[in-house]
Amino acid sequence: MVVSPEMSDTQGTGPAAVDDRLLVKRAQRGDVRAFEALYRAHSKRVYALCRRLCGDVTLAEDLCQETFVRAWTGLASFRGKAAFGTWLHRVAVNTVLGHRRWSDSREDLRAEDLSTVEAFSAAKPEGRSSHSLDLERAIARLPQGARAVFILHDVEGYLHREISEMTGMAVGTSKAHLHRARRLLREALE
Amino acid sequence: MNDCKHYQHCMNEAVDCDLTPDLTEQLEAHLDSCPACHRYMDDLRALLTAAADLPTELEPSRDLWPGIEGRLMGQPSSRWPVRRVVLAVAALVVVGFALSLLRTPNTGPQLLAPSESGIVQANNRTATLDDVRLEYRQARDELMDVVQARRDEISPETLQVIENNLALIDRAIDEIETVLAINPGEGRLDRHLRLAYHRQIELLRWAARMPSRT
Repeated sequence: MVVSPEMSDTQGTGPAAVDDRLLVKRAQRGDVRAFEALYRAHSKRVYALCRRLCGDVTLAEDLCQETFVRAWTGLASFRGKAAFGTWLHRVAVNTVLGHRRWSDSREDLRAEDLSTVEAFSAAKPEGRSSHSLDLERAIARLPQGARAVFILHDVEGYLHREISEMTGMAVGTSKAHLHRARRLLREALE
Repeated sequence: MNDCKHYQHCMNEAVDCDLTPDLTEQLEAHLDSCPACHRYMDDLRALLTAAADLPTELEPSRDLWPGIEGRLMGQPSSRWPVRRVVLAVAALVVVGFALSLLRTPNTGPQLLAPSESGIVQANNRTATLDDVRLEYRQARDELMDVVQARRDEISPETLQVIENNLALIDRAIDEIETVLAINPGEGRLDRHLRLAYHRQIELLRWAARMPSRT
């Protein structure tokens, strides 16, 4: 199975998107190997989103798996209007935000039991600057609502209107969370 | 100081390109005269640049595919069951439409009331699906007996319509039951199945109560 390294193309026009469309068609016919190729192409991006959103390494892996299972069962509803990666991203966001363990978790996470903070602290991955890792750690310590909106808006590029649709919070609330997140991050990184 | 708080809010709007031209002009004037806010704005821009530069991909600690594949084996392949359910539900819609055309203001004499509870249960979402199945089968058998007993009173054309619609609903029930067996606990399938039962009972009740052709 040849999988393009540019699978994360979200514009829906590049070679990766064309490969995705072919793989999606095969997967829609029940081809598990084609779906595995889609997983190989998109899993790191989905996992990054899950990990940043939920702030927990183990839970992020569970939610990443759950995202792909939901994507498989819902693949028939994917009509190809957007790129597969964009659709999958939305499935991941809905999976994390709708997850009981995420929504029931504490509003303020403490550093000493936050596995993501520890994971980002444990070792400096190749190619990551210490500034980038400081930011990851600071994001992981944000209150849940502020963290989710910051990641969706400033890292993933969603609009407040889209965040409002996904989370059910008002646009004004989304903006308030974002401004708070930025202020807290700025203070943490000073 | 209050001005600075106000302008810090404006700075957030400005970096998101949500600030009006008037306020943008005021903000720029304030930044020229306030070193603290100027630094705040620089920090904010640096933060957004750093956020945008975060790696879009992270590696999980293990290969998650085997776990996913294991769960897919217990799932339907993505397309065929959905198509089957869609067809089944479409059949129910057709039957519902046909029923609405067949209904007349005068529903005729109240010949029977066998197992009305079947209809109640089919609409009762708190009843378990097993209870609904049981009640439905009982009601269906009783109503079928009544319809059979009235065969001579019903015109052959009407009888044909009834039998065709009953066959459609039977097929819909079979399809939904098949997919439900693969996906137990799937809420939409549960609702579709209850609707199918309800449609069938509704049709039989109509047939049992329709006025005699003589």
